[in-house]
Amino acid sequence: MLKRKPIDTYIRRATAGLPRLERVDTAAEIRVHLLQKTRELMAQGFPREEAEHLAVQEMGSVAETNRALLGHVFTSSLGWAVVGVMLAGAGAWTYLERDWIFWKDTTIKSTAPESRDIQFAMRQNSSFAVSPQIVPINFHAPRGTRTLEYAIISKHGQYQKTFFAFEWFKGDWTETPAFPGFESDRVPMHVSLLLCEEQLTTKLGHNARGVAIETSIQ
Amino acid sequence: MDPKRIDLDLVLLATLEQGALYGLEIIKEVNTRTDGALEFKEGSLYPALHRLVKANWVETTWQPSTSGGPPRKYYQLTDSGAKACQQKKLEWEQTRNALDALMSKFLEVIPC
Repeated sequence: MLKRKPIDTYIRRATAGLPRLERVDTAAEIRVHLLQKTRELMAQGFPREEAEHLAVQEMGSVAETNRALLGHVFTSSLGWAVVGVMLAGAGAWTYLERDWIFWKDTTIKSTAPESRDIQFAMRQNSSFAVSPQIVPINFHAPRGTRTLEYAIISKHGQYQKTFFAFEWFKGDWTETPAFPGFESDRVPMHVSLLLCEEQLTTKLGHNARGVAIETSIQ
Repeated sequence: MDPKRIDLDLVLLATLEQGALYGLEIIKEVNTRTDGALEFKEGSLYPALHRLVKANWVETTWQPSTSGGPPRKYYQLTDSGAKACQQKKLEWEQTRNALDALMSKFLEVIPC
């Protein structure tokens, strides 16, 4: 196996990680330096191999030179591994423990009614004159949320009464307390969901599902 | 003496004031002018020079060797490099004067 010359090894390690053009330029410059130094040492009587070795020795620590050329300390695979582990750890911690990241923000989405929603609506009041409007809503709230307030605004007084109920994730239906004023035109009905951590908390927050039931004015 | 403690930038800028030099020439020039008092590892020279280039204090050109070897990369002060050198010399003089004053009082109290 061909043994790599100390000069080549030094240049390769000193310029590792530099952008390609800068690396070529710096490598050429250091090679000229080391070759001239080798020639001078040979002129003093040192054999070539020893002269090359001494020339490289006089350059000092190759790792220090490489760090200084790069301008940062992450010159080894171990350094990058440490950075990788730290970033992965920070990412995992943020994902699991922090609530401010966007996918943990409160979200409220309407979905198509299912048969259970209709059955629930009918259970609430079987004396509906006409079919009620049923709007299932899925909530997601950040971990640690205790109360979620949701407002339903009637359109132009078309609706007389609005029920709101919610179910915990994998839980049972529970009707929310009705706030006064929801019968007035465009007056929001505030709905408070009292979230219980024991029942709802997943690592990413609370999940709940509710259904708004609105009946027409007769 | 470790040049890092006395501002390697100033050492290099002051050395290049006399004209364009290549790396090994700079080291030899520093050794000659300081009688070998300033010694630095040759490997630390190039990162320092590259830093000066990035600061636009020094510019480089590859020139053919006069002694028949491969071309060499010469470093030369720019105008802003010359100004920076003057500023650093001034700062150095102020520091040296302050230290001289301090040490003269110290030596009066505790004669060596």
